[in-house]
Amino acid sequence: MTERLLTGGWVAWMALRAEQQGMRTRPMVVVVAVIQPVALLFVVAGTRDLTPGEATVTVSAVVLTAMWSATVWTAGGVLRRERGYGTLARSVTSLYSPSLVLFGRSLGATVYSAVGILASSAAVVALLGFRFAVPHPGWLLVALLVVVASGTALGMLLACLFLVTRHGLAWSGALIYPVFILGGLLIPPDALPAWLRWVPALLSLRWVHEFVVAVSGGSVRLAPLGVAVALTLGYLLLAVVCLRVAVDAGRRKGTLELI
Amino acid sequence: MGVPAVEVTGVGRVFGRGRHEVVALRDVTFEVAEGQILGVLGSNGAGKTTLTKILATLLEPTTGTARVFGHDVRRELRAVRRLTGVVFGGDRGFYGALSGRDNLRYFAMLAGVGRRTIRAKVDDALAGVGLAEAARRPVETYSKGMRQRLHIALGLVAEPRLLLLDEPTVGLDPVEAERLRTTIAALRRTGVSILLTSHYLLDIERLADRVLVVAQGRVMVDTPAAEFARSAGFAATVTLQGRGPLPARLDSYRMAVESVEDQGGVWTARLRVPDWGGEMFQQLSAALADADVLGVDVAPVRLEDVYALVMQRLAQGEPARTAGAAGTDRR
Repeated sequence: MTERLLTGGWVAWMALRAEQQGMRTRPMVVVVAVIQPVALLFVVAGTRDLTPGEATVTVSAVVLTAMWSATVWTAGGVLRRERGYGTLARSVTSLYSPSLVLFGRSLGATVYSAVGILASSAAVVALLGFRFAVPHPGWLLVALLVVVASGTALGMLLACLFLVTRHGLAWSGALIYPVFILGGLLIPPDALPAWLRWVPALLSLRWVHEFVVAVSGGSVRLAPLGVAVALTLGYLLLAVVCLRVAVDAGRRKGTLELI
Repeated sequence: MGVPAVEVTGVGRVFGRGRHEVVALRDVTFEVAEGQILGVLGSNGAGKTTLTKILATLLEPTTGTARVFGHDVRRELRAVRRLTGVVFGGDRGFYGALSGRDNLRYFAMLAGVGRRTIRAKVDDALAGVGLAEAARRPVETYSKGMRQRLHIALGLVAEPRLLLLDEPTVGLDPVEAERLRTTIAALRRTGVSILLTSHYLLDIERLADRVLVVAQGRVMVDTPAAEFARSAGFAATVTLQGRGPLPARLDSYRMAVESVEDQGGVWTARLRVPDWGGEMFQQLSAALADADVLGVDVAPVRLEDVYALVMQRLAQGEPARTAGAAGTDRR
């Protein structure tokens, strides 16, 4: 059992490292992990004096919004890129579960993007001289971990969905801005028409944001965090099922190209 | 006798449906004995790659069964993958930004190489294909030949018992191709079974124990390589050039005159001889005793000639030869 766990961890770690090595040369990573959060922070908060509470909420919203873009463009594109490289079949028909391999790659992409987003956001925050209210730093760390887990699971799900459609790249672009507007991060969900408020409810990052807003106000409300975790598990489960269906269909239809 | 490395029985594969239906394989049956190299020949679209993909568990057969060392490719995926290495030719199949070593380490891990031995096995595999010095370079800087060698290293790194090679020498220069053939020949000595598809008949001629000719998704010929070469009906083409009258006895004995040309008193005759040895040499000498011979050239029959003849015969509707006991011949 221990040996199996160790091997599983090693497989995920190797996949994570391979993804991160590849990300170093992708210009899109600079756009989503550096340019986008910096630009958003300057647009949203660059000319305003923010209270510590407002600063926490604003920076959290920008970081989570940037995380959504990063999830769609980096983790969500893992399998599409594999097809482009001609490595898809080897990755999903190896001796190990394709979900484990995809998990490692998606985690690699999410962590790499998250580090970039946090570092560039921190630089802007220092430049603009924001002061923060962080009454519960431990809970913020938990929120960050949930964000990474959620981005990984959502990335896996999107990667599978982008794989089964021929128009993955177009879907990637199409998913970004509606979520910017409807995701409840930059625009409060209450500001949306009532018939559209279910959209942000499906996005785990929106619930993490609600949790961070509450924490910055001094209260720890676990319900939004619980919803975020539940949604993350839902994404993960859907991704595993979707990948299995996609790989089985690929073997039946002959769409798994080795090169 | 042990379990065959590959056992394919009545395998068919259909792509698409209705008007778009394409039958890639029909009732394909053959075996590869352990330690044997089976050369699969066929023109583009004959079904060779489909067959390789089925054995590599990338594609399910529509009908029939395929087994690798007794394991069903449809149901026992892990067991088949553990025993099989796959090498597809081409430029793609790697992460361009990663080094050769990093690519190989990652794919070796996926192929089942354990974490304790992976470093040594990857270094050995890179050295084995002559890429040790270029191991740190990104794959996008590799030449076509180097990428192909990396593909070979990838196919071998997990020490498979069955190696599926699909057009392994495609695009390689003659030196690289020869190097690859030497590597494959060395593998035979280690007992690895190999299914080799290639357009280059030299690969098959040099390496294969048996030859399988696939056309329109069917196995048309399944025979030992030596017998396949003999199926042309002649062992060599002798080209004679001389002056004066054409020797009358030339068409006798067991020599078949293929063509005779006469240009300005110099004739050129091409003969197909059923074998090329001392007896045939004596017969030819006797036939040419009174002739004024200017030159003699002997070209042993090549697999390329045989393949062209076989395909010509098949096109003319000659029945296929699918030897029932095909898989039992071993070298």
